[in-house]
Amino acid sequence: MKAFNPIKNGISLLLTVLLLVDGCNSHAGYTPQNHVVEIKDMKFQPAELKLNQGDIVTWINRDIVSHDVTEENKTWASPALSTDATWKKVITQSGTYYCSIHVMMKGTLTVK
Amino acid sequence: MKTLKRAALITGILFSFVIILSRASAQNTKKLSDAEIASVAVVANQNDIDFAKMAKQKSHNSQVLEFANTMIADHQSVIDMATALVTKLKVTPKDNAVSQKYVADAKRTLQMLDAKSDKTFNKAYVDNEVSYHQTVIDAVNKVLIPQSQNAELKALLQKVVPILQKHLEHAQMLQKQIK
Repeated sequence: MKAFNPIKNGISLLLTVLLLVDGCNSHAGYTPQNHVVEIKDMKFQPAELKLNQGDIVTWINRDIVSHDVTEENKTWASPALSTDATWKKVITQSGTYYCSIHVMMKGTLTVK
Repeated sequence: MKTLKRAALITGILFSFVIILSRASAQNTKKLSDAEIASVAVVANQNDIDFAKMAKQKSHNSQVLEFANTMIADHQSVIDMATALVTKLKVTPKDNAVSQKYVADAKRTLQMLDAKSDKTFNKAYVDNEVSYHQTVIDAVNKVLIPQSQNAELKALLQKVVPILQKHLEHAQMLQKQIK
């Protein structure tokens, strides 16, 4: 049976607490940024967006026809957006998306 | 003497033919008024809705059916915008030679599509969508936009071009898949 070592256990506990505090600080220290993608002239503008994990993207439909925003594997999708309608999502991972109404319209999100 | 008479006759026929041709050409190049352009725009959009409605009746291909639904929704949106604009401008769409030709051509196309069997319909519909959108894009860019006088009508037509272009790309993609 191992003998209880207060110094060794104390150091382990301190390191664990420091790591947890550091982790919390680095997460709390980042303020998510807002990004806007306009849907205009049948294109996502910008079509390629680089962002940080947790950033928020708002899509705004500026066209006279309805669009939607659908992840390529359909893991998430917006409802149909009529003219001037908006939809926002917190982005947690990179991916490609398209408009399921106009399947030739595509965009990408790259998490740095 | 006979030779002279024959030459005069041929010259007369040729002269008449040239006059008829030049009149026809003048009719084709006659500028359209905004009321006539509005009529052409509505008819061109309505035609594609009619083609799509036939596709919904005759096709069992999910991609073709999705495309047809998009055509109905988008072209109806354009008609609604055009109707709202002409109402605001107090313009009544005016029937004209160009819109009449679009109506007559669409009637023939619908007859052709209706005669197709289940096996051949999808290809015929998609092929027509490609050629129809190419024709309409050409007309909007070369005739309707340059000849429209009202700035809002011109702006609406300019907004429609990328929609038609995206429809064309979509139809061309389907064309590659449907043999």
